[in-house]
Order: sequence, then structure tokens, then C-alpha cells
Amino acid sequence: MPPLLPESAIIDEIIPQTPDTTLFRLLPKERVKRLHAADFSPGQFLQLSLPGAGEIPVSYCGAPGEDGCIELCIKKAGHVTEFLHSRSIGSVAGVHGAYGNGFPLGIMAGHDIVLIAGGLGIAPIRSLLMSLLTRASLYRSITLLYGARTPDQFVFRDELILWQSSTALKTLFAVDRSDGVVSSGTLSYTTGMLNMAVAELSLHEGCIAALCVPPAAYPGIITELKKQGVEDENIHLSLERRMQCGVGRCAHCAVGTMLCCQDGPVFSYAGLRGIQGAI
Amino acid sequence: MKNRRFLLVGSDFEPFCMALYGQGGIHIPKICADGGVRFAHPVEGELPDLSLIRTILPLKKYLFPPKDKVLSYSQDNGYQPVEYNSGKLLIFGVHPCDLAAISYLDKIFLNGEPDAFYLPRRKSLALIGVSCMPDKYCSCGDIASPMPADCDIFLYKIETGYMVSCESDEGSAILSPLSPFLHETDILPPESTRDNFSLNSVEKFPDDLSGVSSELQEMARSCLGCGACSICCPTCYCFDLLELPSLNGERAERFRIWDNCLYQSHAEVAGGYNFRKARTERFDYRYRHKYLGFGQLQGIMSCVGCGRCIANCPAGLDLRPLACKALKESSHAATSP
Ligand SMILES: Cc1cc2nc3c(=O)[nH]c(=O)nc-3n(C[C@H](O)[C@H](O)[C@H](O)COP(=O)(O)OP(=O)(O)OC[C@H]3O[C@@H](n4cnc5c(N)ncnc54)[C@H](O)[C@@H]3O)c2cc1C
Ligand code: SF4
Ligand code: SF4
Ligand code: FES
Repeated sequence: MPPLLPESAIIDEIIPQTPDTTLFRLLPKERVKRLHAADFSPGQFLQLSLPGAGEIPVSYCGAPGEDGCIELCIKKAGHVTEFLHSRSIGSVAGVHGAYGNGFPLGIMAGHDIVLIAGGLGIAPIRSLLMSLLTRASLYRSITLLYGARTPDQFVFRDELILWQSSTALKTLFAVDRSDGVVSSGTLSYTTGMLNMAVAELSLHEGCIAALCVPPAAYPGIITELKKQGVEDENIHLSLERRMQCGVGRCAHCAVGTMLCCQDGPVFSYAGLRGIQGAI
Repeated sequence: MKNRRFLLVGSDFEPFCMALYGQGGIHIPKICADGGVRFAHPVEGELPDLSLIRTILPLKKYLFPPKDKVLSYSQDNGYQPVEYNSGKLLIFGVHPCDLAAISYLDKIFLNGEPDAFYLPRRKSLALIGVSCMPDKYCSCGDIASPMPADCDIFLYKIETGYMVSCESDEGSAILSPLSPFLHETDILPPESTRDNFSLNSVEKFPDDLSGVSSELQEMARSCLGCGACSICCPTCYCFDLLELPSLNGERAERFRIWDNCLYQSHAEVAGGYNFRKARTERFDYRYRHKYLGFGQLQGIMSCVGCGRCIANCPAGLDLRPLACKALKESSHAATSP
């Protein structure tokens, strides 16, 4: 089990993505050490502390790497996240983790993989995609579907443009409202809800889907995936819940009788069948 | 003296207590000046009132205080745990339900990596249990609990006084100096409320409450959302973390404070989305936590039947009949073809 006490890290890079969302790169405060929290698998999360403000759960959005750097993509949403956005390079942060179950990378080799992200759900999905792309030939195909509310809400825009022209994966970007625009720089996208975009994917049996979308978007997307023959066992979703402790002790995050922080946040849809209020 | 039993005759109870008090910090159940029943320090010569049925707050107040400083932050040292050093505290007169509740809290906070704040507090407590007479709010006899009512010393009420059972090394250390009052016996302990605990054959409550939805809605309609039922519950332990900075921002303190699943904010996340917006959903959550158990404690009912939630609900609500009805209907469904 990782330590429950926050380890000291510093903010090494701050890269604004949209007016309210920023990518933060964290390194250990003492450079020679490696943070325990830097060892993770895509889909897991860590607890981020800002001294004086508090602690919040955040998904890893980068690929686990040798350099021990932790990437977090965070949206201003309240007390702690606003405070984080007022910090500068060199500011101290506390981290502990990694917590929870990530995406089942081990079963993905040899399959068609479809990744579906809505809004900030791109954070854990980017982590998974970057891991897949390090050994892209292992997978039959990789498709990324990413929806944002409006064109200016896309984060990781430079990467989206690279992925769009890469042969290693297929991309499909969608916005709820385009306000008349059909491309933003070199990024092209369609207009329509995410589930409509899923309908256009033409998936095959045996396809493995990984999703992280806003709570209200799950039912429509899952219906669409099932319609295309994707099996319940092969749909993996990352769920959000209010979390305080991250380690199964504060009793806030139950999904049925499972705990999102320990049994999730990534669940297979088959494991959620029949659980009221799960999605 | 461990695993041995002794008789304590009624007339020796007072000198026994006084000698026990001489050993150090002790709390007993008593009616306090404001009329509330609490575990608290005895005043000079005051005997524990073992006829009191239930204290307002259970023993979780010692192990997991309502507001507990857990971490302190300074620029030089980063986050550091707050050390807890306090001497031994003996709690005299704990009912089996409250003992069983501690066994449950131990599972939450000590399984895996022990919680650094709970562990030292738990180690500092010595427990003397006592058998009791249930009242109309108690339900330990209706739904047996799988949790053991463990303690260091247990007092069974008998006609001539008490049968004192020594159950740990710590109990032994406490009782040794008191041996002039104790007469060893090999009589088996009498039947008592303690028999309602440590039971293997426990009911399997159903996963969903759709069979009792009208009762659930009725309850949700009357609930004030005050949270009293979980504040006073010995096995409710939801908490929030709260961090407060010093004025110059160089130091900070982090607190763990009790939260409550009957509050609307319990499942609210950033952006305003609420996973349990409706009151029925919050009752459903409470039901699942109490009767089904979460995470690693799935399948372990945590209600120990102490009756506090019922006795303290200003709207007179009681989740127990609803759970029992759901149980009955599900076992019906299981047995009928
Ligand atoms: C597994 C997981 C992964 C997440 N990953 C990301 C991410 O990659 N990027 C990102 O921007 N956000 C992420 N979030 C959401 C993020 O935790 C919340 O935005 C954050 O807690 C809001 O805190 P605040 O103090 O700014 O807001 P406030 O509304 O002021 O929150 C006050 C308190 O409520 C709690 N809280 C509020 N919202 C949430 C929430 N959604 N989840 C859990 N607790 C909450 C927190 O404990 C917080 O201290 C994730 C949440 C979870 C559960
Ligand atoms: S649910 Fe009620 S009766 Fe059961 S342990 Fe909690 S307070 Fe006591
Ligand atoms: S004590 Fe009664 S009124 Fe208050 S939250 Fe509990 S059920 Fe509702
Ligand atoms: S976040 Fe505390 S139990 Fe899951």
C-alpha cells in the first residue's frame, strides 16, 4: 500500500490548456528521490494536496515513465483547484498514491481498442492512449473519440492535431455546439452528442472500449456500444464519485456496495450490471 | 488471570470500583449536569450507573473524535502526522453492542495499513464490558450481529452481584491488584445480551429496496435531514477532510471531521452534480452501508442494534423495520418456486 502521508513535490511546469484548465507537471522536491506516487498505471488516481487549501483526487493524465514526472490536467472547479491555478512554478504540492484500479491494459493486446472521452474525461484516457501508443503494434487498431462542449474546450490541442494525422490511430473529435465553426486551426471535428459519434464508429465484436465521460453521458454511449456488438465485459468505464480519503475509509464513494476509490474508479460494465445508480 | 472467571459480590462493588479508579484515567456512564447520559470522568466517590441504557454518543468519540487534527504542514518539514500521546484510559460499563461496534471500526481503520490516528487511540483504551437489559429501542436480539463484543474484562450481572470474566492480558493486569474482591469460579457465564454477537449465521439482506419502495418514500418524506441518526451511530464513520492555513500561509493544519450520508452535500462533486440528490437515494445509501457493508466489508452488517438512531430521531423514524421487511421479502422470493 502506498504511504498515506503526502510526499513533497514541486510544480515544475504549468501549461494552460483552456481558460479554466491547466496541465501541471510535478517532480519530487528532492530531485534525487523518486515519488511513490510516480508509479501508477493508466486509470489510477492520486491524492493531490495543496498546503493550506486541502486534498483532492486527480487522475494521472500522462504515461508512467522513467523520469518520475507526474502529469495532471486540472480544471478550476472550487476551493482547491482555484488555489492550484494561482500557484507558480516551484510551488510545493503534496502527493500520495497511486490509488484504485486502472484500465486492464493486460487484456488489450490483439484487440481493436476504442477510447471514448468526454470533457475532462480525456485526462485518464490520454494516460491510457499514451501507454498504448508506446507499443501501438500490439493492438489491432486504436480509435480515439473525444467530445467537448464547444471547440475552445478541447485540451491537449497540440497532441490532438498530431494524433489526427498519425497512422497509428484513428481519431474522431466532436463538439456539442460548434457555433458555426467546423475547424479550429488544423483540428477538425463534427457537431453532435458523443453517442451520435459512437454510432458512426462501426465497431467489431471483440472490440475493447475504455470510457471516461460525464455521468449523464454514460447510458447513451453504452447503449450505442452494445448495439454495435461490444460485450459488457469489454466496456471499461472510469467513474467519478465524491472522494475524501481515497483509501476506502471515509465511506463517501460507494457504487452499490463497491467503493469507487478501491474497487474502481475503472469498472467493467459487466461488473456494474444491476447496480442501481452506478451509471 | 486471563480466561478465568470470578465472582464479585454486590457489597464489594463499591470498594472494587474505588480500587479500580485508583489505577488511573477512567470514564464511566453517568448522567451529567445537563441531564445527558455520557461516558465521562467520575466525580469523587461516584459509582458507574450500570442501569443506564445508552449514552448520547458511543465510544467512537474516543477513537475518532468529531474534529481531529491529523496533519500539520510547515514549509520546512512538509506534511507531518500529528502525534497522539495520551495515557491509558479505562472505560467502565460498555454494553455488548458498543463493544461490537468497536470491533467493526477496528476492521475499517486497522485492516491493511493501520490508520495512524485511530491506532494510538485504540491502543490507549482499556474496555470493561457489562451485560445489560434491552429497552424498546434496542434490536440486538432481533438481528444478530457477526461482530464480536470483545473487551478486556466483562461483567455479567448475576443475582448476587457480578461474574467478572478476564479476557486479555491487559484485563489481567487491571484485575490482579483487585483480587481481594474476586473469588474464582468455574460456573459458566449466564445468558446475556452478549450472546447476540459473534454469530456466524447472519442474514443476507437484499441488494435493493424496490420491494419496500413505498415505505422508503414515506421515510424520506418525513426525514428532516438532520443527521442525528448517523452522528450517534457507533458504526457510522464517514468523514471529510478540512485544511486550514495560517494567516501568512506558511503553515497549515488538516482536520478530519465527521460527515453524514443524510446530508445533501455527501455525494456532491465539483460542478454541482450530485450522485444522491433525492432523499430516498440517501436512505438507500444508509441502508446499503448499515446492512450490506461497503468494499472489503461487503456482507458484514454493521448495525449492532444499540437503538440510538431510533431514540434520537426527531421525526421518530426507524430504518430497521424497513430492512427487516426487505429481508423477509427477499427470503420469501428465494424459497418460493
Ligand atoms: C477518481 C477521480 C479523478 C479525478 N480526476 C480529475 C482530473 O484529472 N482533473 C480534474 O480537474 N478533476 C478531477 N477530479 C475531480 C476533482 O477531484 C474535483 O474537481 C475536486 O475535488 C474539486 O475540488 P475543489 O476543492 O476545487 O472544489 P470544491 O467544490 O470547493 O470541493 C470541496 C471538496 O469537495 C470534494 N469534491 C468536490 N468535487 C469532487 C469530485 N468531483 N470528486 C471528489 N471529491 C470532490 C473535495 O474533497 C473537495 O475538497 C477527479 C475526481 C475523482 C473522484
Ligand atoms: S443503525 Fe441505529 S441501532 Fe444500528 S448501530 Fe447505528 S445507531 Fe445503533
Ligand atoms: S435522525 Fe431522523 S430526521 Fe434526522 S436524518 Fe436521521 S432519519 Fe432523518
Ligand atoms: S474515497 Fe473514502 S472510501 Fe472511497
